[in-house]
Amino acid sequence: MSTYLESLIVLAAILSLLTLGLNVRWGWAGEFDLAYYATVAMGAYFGSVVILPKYSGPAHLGYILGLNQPFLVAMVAAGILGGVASLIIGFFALRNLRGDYLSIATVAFAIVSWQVLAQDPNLFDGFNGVYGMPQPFESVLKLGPDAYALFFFVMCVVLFLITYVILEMLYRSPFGRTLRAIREDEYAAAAFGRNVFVNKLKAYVIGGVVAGVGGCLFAVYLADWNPYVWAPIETFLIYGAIFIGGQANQRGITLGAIILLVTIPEVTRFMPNIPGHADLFPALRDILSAILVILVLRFRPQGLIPEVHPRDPGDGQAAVAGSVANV
Amino acid sequence: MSEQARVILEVKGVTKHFGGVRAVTDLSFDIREHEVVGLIGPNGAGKSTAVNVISGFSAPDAGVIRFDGTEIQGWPAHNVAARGLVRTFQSAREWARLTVMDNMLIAANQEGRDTVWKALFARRALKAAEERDRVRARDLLRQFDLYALRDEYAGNLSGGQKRLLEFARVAMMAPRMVLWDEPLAGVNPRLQGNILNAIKSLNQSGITMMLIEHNLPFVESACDRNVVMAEGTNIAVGLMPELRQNRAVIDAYLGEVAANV
Repeated sequence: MSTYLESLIVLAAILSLLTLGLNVRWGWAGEFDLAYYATVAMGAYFGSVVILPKYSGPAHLGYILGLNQPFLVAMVAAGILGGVASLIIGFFALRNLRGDYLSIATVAFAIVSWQVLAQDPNLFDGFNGVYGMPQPFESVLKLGPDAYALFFFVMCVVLFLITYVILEMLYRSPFGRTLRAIREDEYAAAAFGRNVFVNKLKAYVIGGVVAGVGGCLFAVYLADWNPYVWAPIETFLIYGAIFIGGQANQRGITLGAIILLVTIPEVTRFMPNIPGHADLFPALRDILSAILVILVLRFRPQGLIPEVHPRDPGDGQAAVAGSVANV
Repeated sequence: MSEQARVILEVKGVTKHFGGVRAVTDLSFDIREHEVVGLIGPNGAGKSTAVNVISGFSAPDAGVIRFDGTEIQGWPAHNVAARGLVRTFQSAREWARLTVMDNMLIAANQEGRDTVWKALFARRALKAAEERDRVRARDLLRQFDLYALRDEYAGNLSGGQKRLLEFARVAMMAPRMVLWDEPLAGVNPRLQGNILNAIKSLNQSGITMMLIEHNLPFVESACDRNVVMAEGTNIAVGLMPELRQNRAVIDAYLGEVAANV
């Protein structure tokens, strides 16, 4: 397989994985959360400093921890951090805030955390960020560059598939159905005995675990994570992928991520540079993305692959009986 | 209805104020097992607030609510529901982008089945339980004339069908008691007879009920007795013929014309 295609699929696997996490919050539970990418960034930073060795540079800069641990440990740690951070944010944001107010509180959190992580030079080296993370298992496997690229490719795809399957099991379970009921009408869900707050919090934490794991993987893939690669605004691109693909349908969401987060940036990247207008094609990327989202919302609001419509097999008996309501 | 039946819901001195608005003040009544009790009164009498407070959707400022021997005032709504007391709303509040069948499966008593752990590690047991729920749901949907629509999104049903689905959901949950908040709102006259039958049938299956409704002929045929509220408190209890003679009820609610019908 060509290395270029391989790297595209790796990117697609990572970005789709990240999108699946936000889908738990927004697609299943209806939480319009705007702190998602901040959680991804936390996973990325935290995973990186678990992998990196102790900081040894100028004293006024630096990063915390530096535990020099293998990738798997970092990934698990990043997942736990994403979950715990979401538990804390969600506990305050979901308790009394609904709809727009949840969005406002979470976007505030996202902006504050960006400022803190970017400005504090001793937490994650401020605007320099963390970089130079070794590639997972590279030192153990001792493969050539091509063979290692193939290994990394398989690892990303497998991680994506594991996430996909676990989330699909949750979606199809009574738990998933409870979340969808809360999404549709949380008052009715409470009237029928559902603890709305606790279930919303569960969805928020599951999304946070996926964000943490995905963030760690993304940072290691880029080998560099700093405030320029993540901004609160990135959350909207992930929402765009969900809108295009189809809320709550994981196949659709994977497709949406591939279109919006991989294909459009790649297509615009290879367009020729027009002298004097170097900004044109990066801008075109954003414009194309926005147009695509608007077109889908206008002409196919349920997304390219809408939420699965379950069918009940029935029991083979006639539809009409001596009914109570018709006596 | 035998006077000796056990009291299942006891409301004593319940008060709920919003700022300066005295929505409910010192409200008291009892409901016995298997009764159907109407909660009637003029607009703004505090009927809906009373239902909200009893069902846990808002906490009372004062007073005691005892359901099935346990004090439940101030409990969150899901705990009240888990105890067997379900309420409905003035609008049908179906889960719109879920199918009619899914609406039924959610209404079924989950007994702690909807956890993350069980979704991952107890799939076989969940499947068996869901199959049992489906069999029961199909029967109920057939009774409420919704079987053919079971794969339709609930949001696509007509207003009357949404009401019937609400009744089917309550039947699916099989609670001990239901608080109906205006079950006829948005229901055309022809369907009102069906709703009455549904209420009677659910009652015969052993479910105690209280219902808020303005349609007095309907209340008269559905309810064993009525609690009349005005200005946030109970002003009378009794059968409709007695209430028509009651001066306070005429002044506050019925007016001279209705009282003379």
